[in-house]
Amino acid sequence: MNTSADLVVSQLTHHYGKPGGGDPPALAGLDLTIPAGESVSVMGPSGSGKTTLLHVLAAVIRPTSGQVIWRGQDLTRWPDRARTRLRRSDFGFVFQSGQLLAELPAVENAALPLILGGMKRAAAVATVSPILDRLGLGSMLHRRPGELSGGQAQRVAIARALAGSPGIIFADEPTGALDSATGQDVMGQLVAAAQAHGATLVVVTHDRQVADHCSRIIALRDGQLVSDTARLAGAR
Amino acid sequence: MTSLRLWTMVRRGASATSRLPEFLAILAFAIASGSMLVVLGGLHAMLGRFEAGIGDDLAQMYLILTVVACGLMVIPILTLGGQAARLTLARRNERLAALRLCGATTGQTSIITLCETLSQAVVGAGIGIGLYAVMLPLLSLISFQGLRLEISELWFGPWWLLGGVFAVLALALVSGTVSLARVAITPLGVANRVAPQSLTVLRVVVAVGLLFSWPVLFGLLDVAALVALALGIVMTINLIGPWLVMVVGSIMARAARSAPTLLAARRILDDPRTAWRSCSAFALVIMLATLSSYSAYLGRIDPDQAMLATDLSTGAVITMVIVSVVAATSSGVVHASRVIDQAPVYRSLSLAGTEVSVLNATRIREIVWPLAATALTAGGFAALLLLPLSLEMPLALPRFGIAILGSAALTVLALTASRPLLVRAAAPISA
Repeated sequence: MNTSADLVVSQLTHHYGKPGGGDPPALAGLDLTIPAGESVSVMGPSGSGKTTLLHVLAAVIRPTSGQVIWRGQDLTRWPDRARTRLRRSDFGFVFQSGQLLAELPAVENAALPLILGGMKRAAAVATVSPILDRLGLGSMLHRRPGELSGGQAQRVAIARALAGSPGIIFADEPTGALDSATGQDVMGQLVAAAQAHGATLVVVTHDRQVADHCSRIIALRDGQLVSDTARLAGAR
Repeated sequence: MTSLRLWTMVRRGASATSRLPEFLAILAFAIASGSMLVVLGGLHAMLGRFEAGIGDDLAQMYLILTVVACGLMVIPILTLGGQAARLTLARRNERLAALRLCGATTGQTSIITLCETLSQAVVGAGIGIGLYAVMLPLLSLISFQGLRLEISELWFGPWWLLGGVFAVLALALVSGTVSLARVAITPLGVANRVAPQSLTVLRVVVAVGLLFSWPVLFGLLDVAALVALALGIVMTINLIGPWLVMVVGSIMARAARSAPTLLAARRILDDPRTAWRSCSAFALVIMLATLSSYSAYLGRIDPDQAMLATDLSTGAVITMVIVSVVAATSSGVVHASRVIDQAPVYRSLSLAGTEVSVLNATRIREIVWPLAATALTAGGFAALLLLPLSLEMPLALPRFGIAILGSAALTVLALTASRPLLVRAAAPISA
């Protein structure tokens, strides 16, 4: 099981074009520390740099400058293969549309990260089945994504994100494709599952109701941190 | 706004990336058209020779064999044309759903779909005519009945040309219409009207029954009826094939020890008919390679039949090459369009830490395992048939092996040609 650790970001800057080319940076000198086990939502209007920040934190892309420290290592210096392995072993991901494979049943979709990591199929399925059961999908293990509702598919995606006992779960608009009530339910389950697994949770969202599920809300505008609010004790 | 104006407006805004599926469709139509015209050219040449009495007693035999060969080649060619019409349907349907949301009617979206398909078919057919023109000098190097094929024999004139092109366009129209009937394009998205049908053992029973009819009816039917029955029996392979591929997929899924194998197995099980399409052409190539070897043997043991034997072998090789090229194009184009359609899934898998090599390995296993099963079954059976020949002709088996390996390699090569597409699909989207 991966234990979580602090994720520390220092002077993070990212340009999509050439620096000094006239386009504003997607991220501009961000400093941020996300303690282990915290749930953080990243909010901001379109173009504020939310998804870019998520991609940099998750070691998907290297920033133009700055550091991302995870377990004492600067991820920005890692080669692409090492960062890919890291995402597979230490991180979990939940996307807006779930992005489940249509040809796999729910349990194999959830077990996919483990199978990709070399675990035998039977063992991987046995590992994720209890997770799916806790998420209320115990009777749907063999249903395919096309036979699941949007909320059920997102819960399979959550189970997939939790399969490898990640240190951090990154969620990019996890309720974006769901109706309000289902979205609240899914978000509640995501936060609870992350807490139960001792994982840090980073959620990108434009929805205040979704952000309110987290213990901390960070707001971005034009690539800069404009507010960083710890929620009160009543936060979920 | 008329449907045509709506279509041109949508097309004007298309980016280079969204034109890629169009390019694939045009390529598929081009290969299908070019192959169709080459087949028609050969048929025209042999028909002309039959009418001129060239070949004496064997003239009718040559014509019948030509018709059989054409029949064998037409099936994969028409399959390729149909696939071209259905390429990237998911992506196109999403765009059409957006149009419906803005108020376009079902009729307008249907017309737009058919216009797109037809325009791709017309451009592809034009390129196909060019391919046929380029092939003419090469085809004239081939000899049948001791005579080289003349360009004047192979050129069938504007009416046959139009007929061949019209056949491809009609196929595009029919395939496009059928594919439209299978989906309901609504403003809320695309819903499939028909659920995928499962494959039952009944098709195997029917196919085996037809196979056993051959020895029973062989002595009772005339030549024309026998040719029709032979073609029908070849088509029965398409009854058994998908079922066999489904069985292969089930075995793969149960025995899978790696993610690529599991994913490939699930994809095969999800759509065994599509998985079989690469194998059906391959099975045909195995049959033709066997025929070619036996023809060569016939020429050795009976000098009086030497010319017929040589021509049989030549004809089998030509048919094999055309079928292999068409099958490889079909496989390459279908898998490339699948990468485009599934780009969001590939991107999310890559973000989650799946290496591109794993995604590529999945695609290769999806092709290679069914091909390997076909090689082991049909190829193994054919190799047994060729074993007695290898005593007289030591090169028969190696030659057979090279032919089927070459055909399989062409299919896999066509698949790997779309790897750059996969790498691009799996890359994170930059702002």
